[in-house]
Amino acid sequence: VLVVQGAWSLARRPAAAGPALGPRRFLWPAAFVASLLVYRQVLPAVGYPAATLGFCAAWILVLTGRYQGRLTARSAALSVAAAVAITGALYYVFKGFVRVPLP
Amino acid sequence: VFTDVLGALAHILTNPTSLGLSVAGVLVGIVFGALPGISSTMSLAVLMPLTFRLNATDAMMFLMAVFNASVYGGSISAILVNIPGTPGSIATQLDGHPMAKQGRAGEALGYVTLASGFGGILGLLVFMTIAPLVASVGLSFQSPEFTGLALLGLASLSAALPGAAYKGILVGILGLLLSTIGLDPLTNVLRFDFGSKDLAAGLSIIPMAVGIFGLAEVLNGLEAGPARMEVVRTISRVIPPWAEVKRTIPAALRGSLVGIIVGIIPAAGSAIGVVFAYLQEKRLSAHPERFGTGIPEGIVAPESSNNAEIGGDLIPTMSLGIPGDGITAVLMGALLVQGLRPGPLMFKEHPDFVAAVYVALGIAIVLTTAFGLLGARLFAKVLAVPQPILLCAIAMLCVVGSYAANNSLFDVGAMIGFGVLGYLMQKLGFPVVPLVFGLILGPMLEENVRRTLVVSDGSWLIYVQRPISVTLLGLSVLTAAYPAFLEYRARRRSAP
Repeated sequence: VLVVQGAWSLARRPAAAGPALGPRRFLWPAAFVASLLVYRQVLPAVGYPAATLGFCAAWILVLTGRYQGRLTARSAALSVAAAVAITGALYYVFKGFVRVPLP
Repeated sequence: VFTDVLGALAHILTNPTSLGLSVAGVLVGIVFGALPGISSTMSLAVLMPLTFRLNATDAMMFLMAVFNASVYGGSISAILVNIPGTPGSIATQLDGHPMAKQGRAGEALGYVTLASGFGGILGLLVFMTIAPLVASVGLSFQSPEFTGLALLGLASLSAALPGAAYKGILVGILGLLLSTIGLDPLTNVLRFDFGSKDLAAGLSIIPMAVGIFGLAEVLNGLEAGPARMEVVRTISRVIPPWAEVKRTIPAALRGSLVGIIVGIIPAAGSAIGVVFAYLQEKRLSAHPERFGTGIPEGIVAPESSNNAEIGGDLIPTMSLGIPGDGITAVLMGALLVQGLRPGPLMFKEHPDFVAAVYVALGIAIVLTTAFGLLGARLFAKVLAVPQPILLCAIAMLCVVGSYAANNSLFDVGAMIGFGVLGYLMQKLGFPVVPLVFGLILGPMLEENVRRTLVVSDGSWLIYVQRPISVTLLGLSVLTAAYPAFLEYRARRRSAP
């Protein structure tokens, strides 16, 4: 009911009320959610370090390319380094400090 | 109260873990708050899983520190980038950014830090004074009164959403429905579990809060794309001249008062408080035309209101078990995970814990002020973190945090589901906070309605036969209907 009501009010919204919600703007969030679901599926098999490193490195590279227009060797290296840092920091905090048995 | 507070203070000050957690919470809270797009609610939601394996006092030391520091941190980006880090900083930028552009960024950060500390301490004092009184009144409540209280909490959401009251109520009802998944609290019969053992225990508040407040914002960030930010990089002396500080004390007092009152009103939201504090200060000023040009009063009034609101927010949350807004709903969720249900009984059964909450907030305020004054230049550097790294780090924090709740991949899936739901609801103009309210207040409402009906032998008349119960129910109806009435009146006036 909520979704139908929302869709109905969006369809009735006059053009001046705001930008049209074209489907293209939802592509990035949709792709991100799809990759998160894949990540969740492969997590038990691949393990936290490899799965997280792969996910973060891929997305940081893709988004850096999107935001900067092009991907240089330096920004690619920085992206991978950031992915290693995120994976390592979360692993240390949750596995080492909070003692969560990560896959 | 005084003895309990002294005991808690002595215990915490001699416990390096508790103090370390408070320091860590303040540092992380300021950094998260300073980053545009990361609200205080989101900060608390994604960091809450770190407290699952801590004892209740240590968990509160960390969470209170994150709460207070993230509210303060929002002003750093408001001043240096002209983008509020949190909704509660929208008024700070009006005078804070112009002051920064005049080469007085350090001074602006100094005013913010001192005002936040001032407002925070006043809010804490009011919280310590009023909460026990409200709780002692609440001790006389029985099932019918608690039903009225839970309904009032849900109904107040509609008052906070003018023009879309029914949407808040609808989403609140959806939250209530989700809270019925799992074991029936009275008969222990399984409901809506669809044969899944993961659903048998009911939906946990953790994946819902992390998904709705964390992942949904990541998806919003991905949709919005790169944000252009012009950062003021030169930060001069941070501590403002004492004569100037003294001149702003009345503004800080008035701002704090506004913040405390707005905080006590459920679901009023920090943005309302700071805007009101700013406008009130402008109205009372002898030179209203100078507001917006970078004057200290324009920074101090909203910023003291912002942090004073924390104490006000905590009054209904801790003394009655009714969260005042999204952030206190998340805080309440963290307490429920610890096996503690905020409410009048907590003040009677766990006075030591209540005292620890006061001390935790007090220490958080002191540390935030100290770190804010000493590390302003350092915290400003977090604004340089590239957005792709930030989005991925938050998304992974959401995943690992929701997994940590029960070591379950089901919770990760639930978090992703709620993240998508929260994102879509925002796109369709539905508020998300009532969903969390519904899930938190649902068990309280259901249990008390059914207990009441058992006591009254199935008669609903019991609700109107008890004075407090009928008052609370009447207030609930009025609160829910008021925005609709305003809308109706506005339509009639605009009709030809």
